[in-house]
Amino acid sequence: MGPNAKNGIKTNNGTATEGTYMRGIRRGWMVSAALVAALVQSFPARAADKVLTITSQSTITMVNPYGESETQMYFIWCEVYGCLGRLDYIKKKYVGMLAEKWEVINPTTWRFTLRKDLKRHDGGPGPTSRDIVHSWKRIMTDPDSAQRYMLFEIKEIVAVDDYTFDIVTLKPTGQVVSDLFSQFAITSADLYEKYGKDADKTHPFGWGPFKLDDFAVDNRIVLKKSDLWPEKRPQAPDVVVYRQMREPEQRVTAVLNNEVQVARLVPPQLVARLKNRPDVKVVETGSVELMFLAFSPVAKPWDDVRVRQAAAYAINRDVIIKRLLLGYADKLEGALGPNQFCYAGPSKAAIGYDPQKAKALLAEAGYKNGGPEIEFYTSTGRYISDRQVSEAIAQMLSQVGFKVRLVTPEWANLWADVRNGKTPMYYMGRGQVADPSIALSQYFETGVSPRIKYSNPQVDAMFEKVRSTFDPEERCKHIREVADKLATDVPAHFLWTHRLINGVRANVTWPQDPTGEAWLLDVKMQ
Amino acid sequence: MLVVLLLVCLTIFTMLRLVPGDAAELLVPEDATPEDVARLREQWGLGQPIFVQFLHFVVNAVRLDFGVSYRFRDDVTHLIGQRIGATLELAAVALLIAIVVGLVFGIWAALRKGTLVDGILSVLSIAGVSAPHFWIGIMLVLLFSANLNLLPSGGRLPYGIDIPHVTGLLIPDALLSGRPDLAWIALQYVVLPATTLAFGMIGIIARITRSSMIDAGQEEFVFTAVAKGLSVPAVVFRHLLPNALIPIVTIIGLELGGLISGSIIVEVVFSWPGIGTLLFQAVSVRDIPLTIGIVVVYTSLFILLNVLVDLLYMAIDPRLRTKGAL
Repeated sequence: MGPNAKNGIKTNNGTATEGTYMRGIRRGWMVSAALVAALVQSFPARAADKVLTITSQSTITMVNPYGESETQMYFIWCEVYGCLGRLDYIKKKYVGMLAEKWEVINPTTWRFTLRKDLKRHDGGPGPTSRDIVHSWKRIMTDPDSAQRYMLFEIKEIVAVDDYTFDIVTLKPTGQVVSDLFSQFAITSADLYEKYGKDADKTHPFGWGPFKLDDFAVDNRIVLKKSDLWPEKRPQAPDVVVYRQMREPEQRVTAVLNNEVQVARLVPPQLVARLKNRPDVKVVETGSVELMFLAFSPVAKPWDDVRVRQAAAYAINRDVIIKRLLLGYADKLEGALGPNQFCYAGPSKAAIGYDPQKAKALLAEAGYKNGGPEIEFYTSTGRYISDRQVSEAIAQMLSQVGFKVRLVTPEWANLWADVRNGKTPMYYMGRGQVADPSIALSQYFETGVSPRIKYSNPQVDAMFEKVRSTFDPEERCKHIREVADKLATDVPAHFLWTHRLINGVRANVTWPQDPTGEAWLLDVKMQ
Repeated sequence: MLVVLLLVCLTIFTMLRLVPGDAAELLVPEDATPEDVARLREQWGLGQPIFVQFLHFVVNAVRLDFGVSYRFRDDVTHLIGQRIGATLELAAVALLIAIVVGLVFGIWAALRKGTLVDGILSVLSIAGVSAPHFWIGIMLVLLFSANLNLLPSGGRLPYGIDIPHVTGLLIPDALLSGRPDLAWIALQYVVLPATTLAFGMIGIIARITRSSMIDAGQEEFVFTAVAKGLSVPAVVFRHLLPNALIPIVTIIGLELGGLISGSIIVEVVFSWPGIGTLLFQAVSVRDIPLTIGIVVVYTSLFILLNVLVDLLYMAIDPRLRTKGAL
């Protein structure tokens, strides 16, 4: 019997033996298919009713409530431990949470009174002035604290009695409430004295409407509704899971599959997948993150205000919003947007799109026969379509005469250089700008940070007025004056705020505000 | 092994210190002042000379103390210990899928050499090797999760399901706890990321299996086996495959490094809570202790697995068990 080298293998009785073998192979595939079918089934239903799972892009880092300075974590710790109060975007005013009232005693003293109807999650007593003082001291002294800046205006906090305390500021400061509300979480002095920092892990008991049930670093946070919170909201979720999901495709898929009920920060190009689905709706709001181009006036050619204005006139924001951001952005006319405090309409000083004017300004500045050479820095993947937007901006600048070199460093490198004032021109966003005074001061007040190195004594005086004015209307007037001055001087050209787009299951009412968060008791689940 | 680990540590340490940006700059909040940055730098010893920092690190690392993570402010050893089970489970399931599917494809292609089946399997093998993990992962999510709604899109377990901790690997832990139902749930969650991770390796194993099987099929002992009247399955599995295994095991050993490093991207895409996502975070913010701790773990795993592969050679080939046989 000679070899029959069919299929690379010598066979004896080719057809019959091979037929047996192939039947065996087919049986194997059928068994495998059956196993796969058994494996592949609908993943299990939620363990309990009214579990709301929300996606989180932020990294869940540490259980220390003072260890992060990030909007989502501020919200979560306010829900768990309680804050003095919070900003209610729906009512457009500050409302008390642990504090029931507050008043200005004198220009450097604010007096707060705490509620007396609260109990700690473990049944312990409600918050007292001692807890407030303890929380302040802990923020200022804890080596892991990332929230000191929030209290930089405060000289001391003094207990008047168990439920009344004074916040004494270093200088007259009209923005104490906006500095502290929705951010300053109050933790128990008793528990800290007993358990030290371990209290955050082993005894995370606060006075908020939700209790901390589980905290898995870089994974998820689980909150459970507290029966001890006085306001009962039966329609609110019983359990809230913040689940870390960085990949936008995964977030969208998860909400379509009901793995999560709220998929946050859906990029514009994926919105189409959410539409035309009866079980999912798109919920969008404006945001308070200002996207801007920064021009450092200490670096050439940006030391000439005409060059800065020319760059601003060159940008066609409507086209970028329509084509690259697919309409999911709100154009800014000045440093204040509709979702921020003190907005009273577009700034009359804001610069619009006018390429001819841009060319004329460059000619006036001495660049008649060719514009200045500039380096334009941008992140990639940090903001929505940041690289594409920057490429479009670079092209628009080139069209009016600038010679642009677009630089796209890794975010870590870019951010380090921006913080150290090494980047003369860049595209950036500034979040947490509900009250714009702090953010604007950071970038445009002399000596606060070197990110732009803009210095104007007139603007510095305006910032001082903003801080020391207590009447909200008067304060807003001064903020608008700052915004108008910045629109003329153009150390930055304010472009837009992105719209926050969420995929939400149809049985969930998600009252998101422009920070991207929602007060969990206002959420309704059917 | 210690020398390798030391060199790896030194390389990573130096690279992280030389690239622009440091953890203090990256981890302070938006409103922090330069004083806050300076304070953190001092707290973490970043202002000291590099060789002093490295010496300090090595002295502690010898005691398996990699320090405290800048990002998570927790002990690096503790962080890794919490999550290494997830990575090992992902890698183990991926390896199993790669070996089983790769061998089946390779054997099938060898048996059908020169046919359409052989051609299709070759194309699939090349595609598996060529396509990047993140793309494969997203495609699998779109197909099995989004369109067919058959498997979850990510994560390791749904909320509300708890498996008693024994080994840190959920499937064995569920089985050891007498809960095969929970093991099924855990398996559903690991299948997509493990398949993503296994894709490239399937292609390589299939191709090497095919070649080895064809080469071994030319040997006289195969002819003898066939002449004796053995069935094709018996010839393939009792004679051909054992003799073709050496190159297959070699390639598996060589690919293990890719499996481990590939798990980083796969974990990020699928929000899989392993040390890969931690490493991704750590490098992004120049978290030196955490980065080095995880890299040391990966390096140790890689070395250990290659030692196991060498031992496997001896199990497969009795000739290697005799001293001086080679």
